[in-house]
Amino acid sequence: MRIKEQKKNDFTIITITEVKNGQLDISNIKQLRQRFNRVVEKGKRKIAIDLKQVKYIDSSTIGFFVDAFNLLRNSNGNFALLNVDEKIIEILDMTNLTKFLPIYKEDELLN
Amino acid sequence: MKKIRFTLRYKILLFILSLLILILLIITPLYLAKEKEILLSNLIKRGQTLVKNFALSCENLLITSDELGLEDEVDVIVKEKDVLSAYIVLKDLTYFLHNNPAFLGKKYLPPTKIEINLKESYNIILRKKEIIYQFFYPVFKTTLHGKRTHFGTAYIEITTKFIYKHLNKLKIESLLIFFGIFVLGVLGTIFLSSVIVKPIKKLMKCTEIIGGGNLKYRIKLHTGDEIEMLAKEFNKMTLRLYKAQRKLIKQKLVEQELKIAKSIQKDIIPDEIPQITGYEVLTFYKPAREIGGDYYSFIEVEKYKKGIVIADVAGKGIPAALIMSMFHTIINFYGYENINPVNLMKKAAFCLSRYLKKGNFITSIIGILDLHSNIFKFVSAGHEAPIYFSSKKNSFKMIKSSGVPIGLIDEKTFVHELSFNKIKLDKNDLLFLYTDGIRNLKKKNAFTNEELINFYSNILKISENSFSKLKNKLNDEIYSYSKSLFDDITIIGIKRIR
Repeated sequence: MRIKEQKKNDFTIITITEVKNGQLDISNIKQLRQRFNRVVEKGKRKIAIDLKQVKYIDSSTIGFFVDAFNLLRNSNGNFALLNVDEKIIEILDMTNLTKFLPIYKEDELLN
Repeated sequence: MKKIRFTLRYKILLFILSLLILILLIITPLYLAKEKEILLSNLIKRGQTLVKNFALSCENLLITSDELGLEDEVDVIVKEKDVLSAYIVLKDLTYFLHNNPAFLGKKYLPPTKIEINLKESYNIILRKKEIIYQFFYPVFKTTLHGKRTHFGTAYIEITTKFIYKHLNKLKIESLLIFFGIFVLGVLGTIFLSSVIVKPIKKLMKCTEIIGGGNLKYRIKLHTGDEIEMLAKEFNKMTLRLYKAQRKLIKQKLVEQELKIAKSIQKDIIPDEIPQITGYEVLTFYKPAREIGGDYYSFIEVEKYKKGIVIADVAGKGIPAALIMSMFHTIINFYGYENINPVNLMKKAAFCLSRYLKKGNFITSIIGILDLHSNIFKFVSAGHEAPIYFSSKKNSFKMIKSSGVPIGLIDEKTFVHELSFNKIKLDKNDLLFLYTDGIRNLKKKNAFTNEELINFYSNILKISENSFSKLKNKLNDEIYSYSKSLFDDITIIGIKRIR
């Protein structure tokens, strides 16, 4: 798994690429969590995670999303998930977290 | 330990001594032969010189016919070491001169010759078992006119008796030396083999100690050679063995603890299917590992009110099991106080939130089945939506609720999102409560909601709507996806039968 970082408007977009089998779960979530924390340490408060290549998540990924969301909300920032697969939306929906986690298409966020 | 028949010490001893004997056996005869050759060669040279001088002296004396001089000459020669006799034999084979006057004028009888060496001018003869070298040289007579004519032959006989005596003496001396070297060799070898064998014996003793199970023992050998290196390697090996053993013991301990944890969890998870009047109940519980984070429980709230709880702690194994047992304690502590499901969920969330760190969370459904109204009233904390089968409509439906998981969102929002939901069960209606293990049956390719409903629909069809068949079919179906479970799986099914 590789993680790219880019700035668009005032958002820092963290894009996950080369994900093995499209899995973002307990096996690799630590890598994403560390990268996210580094971006936060740099003072960024508007962070989006691009899940274009992610097809599967587990409970540890859900835990991370909500953690990230809570962290940025408590420091007057913004968190967003971009390009989320339908299947993942269904999983998030089951926990009713879609109500809290802002999910956007990339162009929606920039507008 | 098996007794060694030929110890290393004996082997070294045997090897070195054989070598020694072999060397001595070859060297000694060679030395003696050489010595004999030198002595005989000296004897020959001496004999040749003596006989030549004797002959020439006699020639000079013959010119003047000095008979006394000749006799003196013979006496002088015979006094030489080892010389037995000296004589001159005339051409007609009669003695002309002899150190023993008895021979004079008598016929010369040639003795038995063992070897004739004309070139070197000597014969080897045997007389009374004595080997004698007979040297000869021609004697010429010079007349007054200066004419030289052959007069006869001068002979000197030299015995080898003393040479052979000397050689025998040498043989005895050699044997003594041989014996001395042999004794020294034995002693030396014993010492040498001790030097080699001692550390090996020590090494053997140490390995016996280590082999006996004392893996902390270290071999201390400072021989400065390969044996010390061997001991060092052995120590390294023992250390690795010790570490591996420790690891194994630790592992066994963990396994033991896991076994205990499993048995505790077995006590927490009900092992009997509860009897609910008018209903058939099915439970299916399979943790992915020894212990898991799935949980379910039945609580007798009132005679006609049955509490049903299902929960899933995110993650697997011991951490999940720990949170799960906390959840169980809270549910059981408050569950029997006729508390309503929303408040019970709030209590659980309040108690557990502080223990759920870094993205850990619990999803759960707490509900009460009212046996009078046949209504299942429940509250969900972000848990998988119950699947309802209507017998009348012959259709499946997911009953979604609003709640979010415990431990993720702040308490105020959590409480705000909690809401009651209810479903009335008619005769032959079914309700399934389950954890997301079913959704993850295909490992990393989660079921969609539609696929999830299809799974239940399919399994019902296979088991011909019979709950007793369902449990077995469920087991077969689940393991048809994979031999090992990827996630804990829990299913509670209830069917109204009248």
